[in-house]
Amino acid sequence: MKRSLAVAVLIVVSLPLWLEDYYQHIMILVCLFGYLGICWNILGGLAGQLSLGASLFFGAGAYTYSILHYREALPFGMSVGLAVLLVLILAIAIGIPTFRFGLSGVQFSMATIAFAEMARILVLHEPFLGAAEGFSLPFQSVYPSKLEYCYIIIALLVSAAVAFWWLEGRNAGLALKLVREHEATAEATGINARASKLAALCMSAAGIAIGGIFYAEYFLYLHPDSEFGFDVSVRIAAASIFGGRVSVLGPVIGSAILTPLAEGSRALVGVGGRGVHQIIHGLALIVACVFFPSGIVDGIRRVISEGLRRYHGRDA
Amino acid sequence: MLAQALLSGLIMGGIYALVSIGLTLIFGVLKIVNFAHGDFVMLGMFLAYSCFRQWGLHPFNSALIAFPVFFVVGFLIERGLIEKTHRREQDIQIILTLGIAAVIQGLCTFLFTPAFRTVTVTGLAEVVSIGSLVISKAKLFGFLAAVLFTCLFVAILKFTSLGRAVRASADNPVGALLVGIDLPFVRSTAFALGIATVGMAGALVMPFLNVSPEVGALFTLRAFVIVVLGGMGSIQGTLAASLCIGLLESMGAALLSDSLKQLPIFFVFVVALYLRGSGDIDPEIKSYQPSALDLRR
Amino acid sequence: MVAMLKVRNISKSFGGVSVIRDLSLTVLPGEILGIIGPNGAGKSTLFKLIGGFLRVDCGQMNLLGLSLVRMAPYAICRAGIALTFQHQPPIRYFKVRDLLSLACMLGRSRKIADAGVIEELARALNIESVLDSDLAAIGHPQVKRVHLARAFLTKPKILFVDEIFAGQDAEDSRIICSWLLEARRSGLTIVLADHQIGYLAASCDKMAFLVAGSIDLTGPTEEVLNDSAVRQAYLL
Repeated sequence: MKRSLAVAVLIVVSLPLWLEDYYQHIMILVCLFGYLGICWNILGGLAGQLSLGASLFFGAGAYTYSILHYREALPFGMSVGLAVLLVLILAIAIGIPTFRFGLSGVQFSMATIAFAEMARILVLHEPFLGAAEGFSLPFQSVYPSKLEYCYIIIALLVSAAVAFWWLEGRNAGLALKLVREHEATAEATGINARASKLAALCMSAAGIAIGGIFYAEYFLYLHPDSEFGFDVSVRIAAASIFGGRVSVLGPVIGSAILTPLAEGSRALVGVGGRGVHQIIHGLALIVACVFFPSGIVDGIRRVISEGLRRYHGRDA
Repeated sequence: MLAQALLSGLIMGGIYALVSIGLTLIFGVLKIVNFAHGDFVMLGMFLAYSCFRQWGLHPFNSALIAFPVFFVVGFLIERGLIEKTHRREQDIQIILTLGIAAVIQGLCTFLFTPAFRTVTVTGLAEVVSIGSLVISKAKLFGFLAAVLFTCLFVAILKFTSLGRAVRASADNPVGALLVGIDLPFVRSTAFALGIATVGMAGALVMPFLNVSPEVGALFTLRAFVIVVLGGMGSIQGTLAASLCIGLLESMGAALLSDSLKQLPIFFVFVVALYLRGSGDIDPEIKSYQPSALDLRR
Repeated sequence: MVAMLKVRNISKSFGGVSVIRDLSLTVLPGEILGIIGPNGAGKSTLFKLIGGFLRVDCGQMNLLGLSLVRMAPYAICRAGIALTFQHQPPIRYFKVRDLLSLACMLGRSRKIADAGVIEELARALNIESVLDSDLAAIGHPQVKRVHLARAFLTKPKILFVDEIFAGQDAEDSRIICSWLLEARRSGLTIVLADHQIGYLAASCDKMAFLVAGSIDLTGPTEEVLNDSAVRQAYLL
């Protein structure tokens, strides 16, 4: 088991080395959305608050970093730090009233959509941030090839996965799960449910902001509709939910299935087949909801164990 | 200037009412979180557009076609997909309807390209002037039709046995089952009715609004804002909220700037959500609420 | 003797329905107080008010001089009031042992060897066979006992137990009874709300009769059970 895991890791890590340019690009996207999915999962899976406004933190991170680093010429580390700090402040400013007034379930989802939309409208309006023209970073990328970006995002993905796994096993992770399952029981066990949810929101937002910074550095162009858009939020959430929200692997597997589907269909069908990737994406979500409501990872696990049970049953 | 903004706001509000009344039934009463709602409006608009281009059919006539077509589509979607999620937490339903929205949007992009489309109907193009105020004939007729159909809709809910069954099932599913209401059928029918109304609304707004596959999400968000603002399930509330949102949007466009006109709506939305939240942590409330009674054996 | 918990003139209404009316109650340290009363009298509402899950409209609540009004439920729990709920919704993806160790961590029993404490308590409450099961996969009576253990492990000063005997079989009810008495001997104050008069009589020192949102009668168990109104309500 351990050996096969090591082999799998080795294959994944060496994959970028012998992939072509386009497939490296796909791999970067898979890892990026896997990474974002894991970050989203801290709030959406562990704490059970279905956020559909992840684009707010994604866009805020990307924009703040790009403007500080490229327009104001602040050093890299400082720009990243300040961008994450700003996103944390945003998360706290949104989280405190939202949890204070007890918004949960659909209401929470709708509030997060509203905040992300407000940000999108404001950025679209503000000339300082490029408004509808978007914000272009210098055309010269920091790294010459996609290989470096590939390894950076793999490193981010792995560290996020390890952090998530570590958090999940600790009491803080258990407490978040209990808050998700029944807030009153959690409070009756002495857990500050609001503070726990706020902490989860902050961790999730900071992670997503770093993903946004990576996105800015990789694509070198930001636009309010793509950075703050509802589609980004849905895409991030979809990777996690499709893969499964109760495990670390879920978002990664979800992204590994959904991203190539979406990108591949876009490339295969070409410009004439616009919208096909959306149809495939949508169908994947529908299939997941109807047949694997607790995620594809759980679904596969269940199918395998059922198969094994039958197999052994026949033996006996 | 301000009076003009007020008038066009009210007119748009009336039209939003027709769009949102279906969601009041689906989300407010049946508790189905339908994030594909606006995409059905968009689909209705494209239906009217194609009918107009193919056969020169007047959009108002297409509205009459849209109603039965969307009724069947809605019924099948509820039966085939949404019903499967009733026993799960609401999150699953949100994702499912987002998936449906993506499919509809992708389908329309595939068939019609992402460009904006318009329909210009002769006879509806000119404007009607009331004193110094002007209003396009298309909008006026759209508004009147919206008011008419909204009244019809309310009458169905209030006075027919189907309406009573819907309200009973929403209020107490177990009780409804016990008195012999065919709950799955009522639920599907009510969902279909809601979808039929929005499909029709889409056809009605075609003479004066542009359509592209992207507009669906805007309608969805606006409709949710209105339903939440109107108190989730109250028809009078929805009507009042629609007018408020219409006014807010036109005033926002007049006072702020056109690019910021949506901002006040979302602001009011968040405030409304906060006011609805109690802040109490009630032990009786399950954190995952099956959206409706589980009917699977 | 100085009171453990003092509730003075609290009221609570939902819309136009007033559920708790001008209720006062004193709980002394080390006693087991049983709260009885017909359905809808407000027993569970009273518990939720004391636990901070609902806010009182007016009145005072003090735990050893500390005012509980407007405190959040988790803070009340940390201050020393633990509750079990009458209707405990299912908790999925959660092992019984995880819940109990979480309660240990957040209570003040950090230094105690948790595993030992949990095992011992589980044996005492007859839930040791389900310790490693999922909370959602075990029966309702067992869930109630698990939550009793959960509340106890937060190391409360007062333990509020809402209808623990409902649904328990005779054997388990006796086990709970003797466990409650044992816990009281080690210094815990306990408040029980229940309809199972027999088991209450066996465990309570004092009883309070709650009718229509206020305490009608309070006194030693014998005295309350001999009251004509109580006898009529419970067909004694």
